[in-house]
Amino acid sequence: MSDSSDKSLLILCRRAPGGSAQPRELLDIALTAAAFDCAPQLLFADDGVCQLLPGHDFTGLIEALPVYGIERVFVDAQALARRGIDPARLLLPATPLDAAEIADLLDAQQLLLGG
Amino acid sequence: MALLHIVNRSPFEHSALPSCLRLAKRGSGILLIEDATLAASAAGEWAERLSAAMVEHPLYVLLSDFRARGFGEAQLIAGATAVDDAGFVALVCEYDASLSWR
Repeated sequence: MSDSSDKSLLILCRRAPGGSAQPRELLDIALTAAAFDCAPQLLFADDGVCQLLPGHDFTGLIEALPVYGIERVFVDAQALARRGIDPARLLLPATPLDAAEIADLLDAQQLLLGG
Repeated sequence: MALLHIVNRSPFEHSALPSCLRLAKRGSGILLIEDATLAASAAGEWAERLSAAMVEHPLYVLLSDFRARGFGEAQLIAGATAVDDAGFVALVCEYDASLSWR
């Protein structure tokens, strides 16, 4: 367990809710990792930014992320803007990042899981 | 040795490759597998963008997947490195971490 907690884990969520089960499965993985003291960072990009909006099937899961110790949540600012999403509507206070900041964030991780 | 981005979706159908190119840090590697290898056609419309990307990123293409889609090494974009399955594994070991863009 101490082994896994030493590793930085980032999960990249890129799919919209309402299509496949994949977005939810990635979040399940995030919660599982958190349960094993390896709280991942989450980055929502592309259509995945829609997971942060209210009104879909697993908003409860999104809102519960901080309860499970997942507090570092980031969102691709350009993906929000391209879809006309006002950051004030997000379920969580996700930190908006530009492309260069995301590049640095990805590069700093030891383990990455993409979707 | 930085991060290896692995893309398997066709850029003609999905946003995985364009997003990867936008968000990859200079020096990180990009490996195209499965349908993403379609981007590596020298005469295709992605060639120009990939050539520009190769200024900042080493580009690798899984040759068996490129071949399985009707292309050959002669059609591979200049500057890209063709790899076989063993080369794929070697790359994953060489880089510090990998990220699959699915």
